Amino acid sequence: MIADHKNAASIPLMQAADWLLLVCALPLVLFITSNLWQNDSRAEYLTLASIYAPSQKILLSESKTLTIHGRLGPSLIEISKGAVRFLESPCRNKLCIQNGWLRKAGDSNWCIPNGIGMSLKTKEASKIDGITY
Amino acid sequence: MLLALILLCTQACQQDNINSTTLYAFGTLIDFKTFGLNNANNQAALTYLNQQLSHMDTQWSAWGDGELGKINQQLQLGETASISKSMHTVLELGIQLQSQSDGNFAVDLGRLIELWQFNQQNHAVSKPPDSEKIQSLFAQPTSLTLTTDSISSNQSVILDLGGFAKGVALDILKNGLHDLGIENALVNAGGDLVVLGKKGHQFWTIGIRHPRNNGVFALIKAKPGDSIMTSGDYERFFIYEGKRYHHVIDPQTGQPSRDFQSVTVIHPNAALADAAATALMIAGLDNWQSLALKLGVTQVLCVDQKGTVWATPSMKRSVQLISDDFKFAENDT
Repeated sequence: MIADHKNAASIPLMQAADWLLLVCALPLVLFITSNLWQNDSRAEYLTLASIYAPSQKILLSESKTLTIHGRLGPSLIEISKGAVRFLESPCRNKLCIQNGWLRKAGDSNWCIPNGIGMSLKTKEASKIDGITY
Repeated sequence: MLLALILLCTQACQQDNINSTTLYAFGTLIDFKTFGLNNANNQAALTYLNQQLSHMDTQWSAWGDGELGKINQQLQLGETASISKSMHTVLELGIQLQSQSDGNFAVDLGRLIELWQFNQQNHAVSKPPDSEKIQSLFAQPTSLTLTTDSISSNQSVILDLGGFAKGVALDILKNGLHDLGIENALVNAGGDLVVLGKKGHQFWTIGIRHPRNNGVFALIKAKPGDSIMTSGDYERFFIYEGKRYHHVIDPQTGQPSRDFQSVTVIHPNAALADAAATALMIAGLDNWQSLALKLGVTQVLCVDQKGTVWATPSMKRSVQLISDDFKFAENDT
């Protein structure tokens, strides 16, 4: 017991190898946690597609409303505070409008009658490449 | 340190190597992603996808002006309809899956779908059809006769490939992209998807949609060649007197399936996975396991109405639940 105590007192709490391990591990921890954060990150841009036009990417940083033409007529899209929604649509059931605001990367909404769809994405690496539904 | 830097660089480089495009076909969004492809090859792949999707969308629409629409018009007149070789292949596969699934998946449900009006793009119905009308459709059993170049039936039949058309399309696209030399890609046809290869050293990561909101409740690392198909009660539906009525109709009762909010199936054969997801929705809590066994699908995940997740052992090993709203059933197999 006494010998053990003496040994413990003579060895530094952190040796050089421990410091090296700590320094090496730190970036790895940052890398892993950055991946975790990305999953919950808010969307940065909107992909908007219509049957009549190629998809367009629109940044969500600027609040505005925009019109996109579909099979039945124009749909009005509102972007505000990093979120997006269908504001007006010529479809009958208005399910696209009822779905409300989309905020997170990976969220999507579409108006089948009018042939218009939207999905939200982040510029950074997204953990999810596709959603099955 | 070096390892971490390499990992960081690899991740950044891999994201730069992903091309992502969205198309609109089959009444839904088609997301197409490729990894490590130059612009010329990416454009060639996009042109191929556009042509194929447009062709299949037109030819396979039950109520359109393409081949299947015209076949249905002839069947309703009591005539024998000529069919192309490719249509024969699709119909033969559909009839085979119908038999294999004990009729839980069916290609001759057009009249029922029409009665519920889920075939209409501009779906405006908010009340279920009269049960007498549904029962009257069962009065005359279906009789389909398929040969290599023709199909005939009684006049009560409208063929509808909706239960597995996207699966068949994805099998064709997967083979076509492979023939074009595309090794690493992901095609997501409105929630039904197929993956080729990987994105660099990582598997493509797929989220399963939360049945009651736009979020994701589970993650899957997709193996190269896998297709992941989901059938759910939230895609086309209406609420009447507090009850949800959706587009997955039970061929035996003529009513929407009740037990599950969604069913996800993973299998290398997208057509089988698509038909199985529909059939297992209808098979319900009591029969999904035996039917999955019969269909030869080993990776299945079902979400019941309480949010309990029923999964095969193989699926349980592949999937990670990331939402507190969902828990695995304690006694599933």
